[in-house]
Amino acid sequence: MNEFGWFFVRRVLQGAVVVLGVTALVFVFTRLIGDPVAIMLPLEATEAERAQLRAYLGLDRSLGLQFLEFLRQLTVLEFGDSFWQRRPNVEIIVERLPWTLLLVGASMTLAVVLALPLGTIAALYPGRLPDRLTSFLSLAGLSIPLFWLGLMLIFLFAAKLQWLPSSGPGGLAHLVLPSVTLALPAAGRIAMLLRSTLIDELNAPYVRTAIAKGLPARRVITVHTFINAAVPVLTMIGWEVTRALAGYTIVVETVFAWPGLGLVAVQAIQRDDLVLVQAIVFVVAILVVAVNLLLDVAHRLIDPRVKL
Amino acid sequence: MSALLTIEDLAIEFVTRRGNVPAVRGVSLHVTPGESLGLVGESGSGKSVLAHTVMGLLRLPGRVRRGQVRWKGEALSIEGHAGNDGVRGRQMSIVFQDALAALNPLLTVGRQIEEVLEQHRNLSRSAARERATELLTLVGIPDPALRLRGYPHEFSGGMRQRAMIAMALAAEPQLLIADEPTTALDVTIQAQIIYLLRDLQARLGLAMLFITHDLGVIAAMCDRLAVIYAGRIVESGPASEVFARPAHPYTMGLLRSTPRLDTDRERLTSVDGSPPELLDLPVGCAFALRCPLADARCRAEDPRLNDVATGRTAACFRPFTPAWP
Repeated sequence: MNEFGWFFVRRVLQGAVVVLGVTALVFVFTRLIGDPVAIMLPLEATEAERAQLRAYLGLDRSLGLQFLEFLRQLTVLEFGDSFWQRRPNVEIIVERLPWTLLLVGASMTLAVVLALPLGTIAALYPGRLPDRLTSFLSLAGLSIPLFWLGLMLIFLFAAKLQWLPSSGPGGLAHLVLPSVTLALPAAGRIAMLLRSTLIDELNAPYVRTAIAKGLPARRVITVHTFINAAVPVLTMIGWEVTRALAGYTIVVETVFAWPGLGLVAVQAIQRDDLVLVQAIVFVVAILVVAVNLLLDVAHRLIDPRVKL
Repeated sequence: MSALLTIEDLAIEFVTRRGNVPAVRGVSLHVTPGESLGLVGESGSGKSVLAHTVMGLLRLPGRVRRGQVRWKGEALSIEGHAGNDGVRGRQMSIVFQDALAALNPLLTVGRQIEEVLEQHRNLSRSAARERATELLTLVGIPDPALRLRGYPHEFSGGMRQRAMIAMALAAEPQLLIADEPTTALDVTIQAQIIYLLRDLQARLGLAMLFITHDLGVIAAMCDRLAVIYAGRIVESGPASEVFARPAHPYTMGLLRSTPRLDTDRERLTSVDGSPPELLDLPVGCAFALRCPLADARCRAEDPRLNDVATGRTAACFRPFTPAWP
């Protein structure tokens, strides 16, 4: 196998260790926050009935044994059953995950589409009006809390103007407000980073060479500086994707009643549905590790100086 | 023969908080087809700023105070993004000092050469690749087809400078500006690059503006020589004549501090003192403070650059007077 193949295998193994670690932590902590048996059974249930359910769920065994059993199930993609919905967790995840992926995909695409021109224009005219305007918008975008931004958007576009639906799943129209809510702060952060990275790159000696070669300014910027700015900006975009998957979607899906993993995670926590929470965290951890793996590969493909 | 490049009374200053620093103070130069002009001066003398300005690379805080740069008689724009005017990069090109920094680290060497060919020679991608292979062969890079796919950091210092030269020659320019092309290299590699440039100049009939602080390099490379001190030309003339009989005390001092094999000399000496503070230039000759010949007139009056012999100029009240024992 070549150098690149080994690099890939190593990163996958490292990712597996991360997923295992996260899973173990969640396993322990979910068992500290509540007793599912108390929630599943009516108040008047007898101690014998409780013990019976505990035994049925495997909760009477030691933590270590429970964890081993949990891991065994994971290897065969068996996530157990949800206490709350009384059906396999896999079913719930398969049902909800596409909604979250759709939301994150749409919002991150929108964020990048907004950030690239804004950051570039700001970098080309540092200190001038386009730069100040962009910096102001970016700063505003990244300092507004998500839930407030979401509520304001609902207030303006759904309640007042009635252009768009306020919440719930549905077609493209339903996707707009939650995606914009997720995208604006991310676009602000990406644009600011692109701006500062490009300003640095535009002063690099290789840019002077490219200009001296008589290349059009457009080519100097789009070919020579963009490729050098790509690594930090891609890292930032990857970070935004993972933050969205592992955090921001919880807020946005709750505000917009978007039926993704984030919303179901909140509901599962409210109902002490440990097994479902575990399964969700496991899936999100795998997604985050996968995004990082993709970033590493992209980094290596862009910059040949990266040591594998 | 009419000149390719003419620099007329060019003055460049740098805007700083402490005031405007005059980096170049009225320099006139010309380069004719096929000739090699050496511009020699120490660090901070303004020689690189001059080269960058000629190539349209002057940026704030640097700005042109007065003067012009002409290509075959026509004035070139010298401020703002002036690179893409059909002259820069096409009819004249530049080789920079540090090829590792000057090449884009994330594009292959081949791509960086080919984009010149695509831009200026209208070659297709495949034709450009073929021509780039020839160019690498021309500058003495072995295994060119393979090296084209390599990145700058995979090249040795000497090979990188060769690739830089190949890139500068890709558009088939008439004038090559070499801005201290050997300064960042080992001595043995320096010699190889100098010989390569001399060989290419002869074979391709290139005119060359060679910027250096090393008189030895000028001796090997150049037909004519101009000495720059504190932003002004203090002496110019045919290289062999200037070496045999320097007119300006500064040139004499530089020659005295250049090691030579053909004469016995007890020890190598340097020119005492340092160049004047450009923000606070003396009233008279800028070299007066370091010049053993300086008298009251030198300190009161700034000598102009005058003809001192056929084809030779010097900015000194007493040209050809031996300044050092």
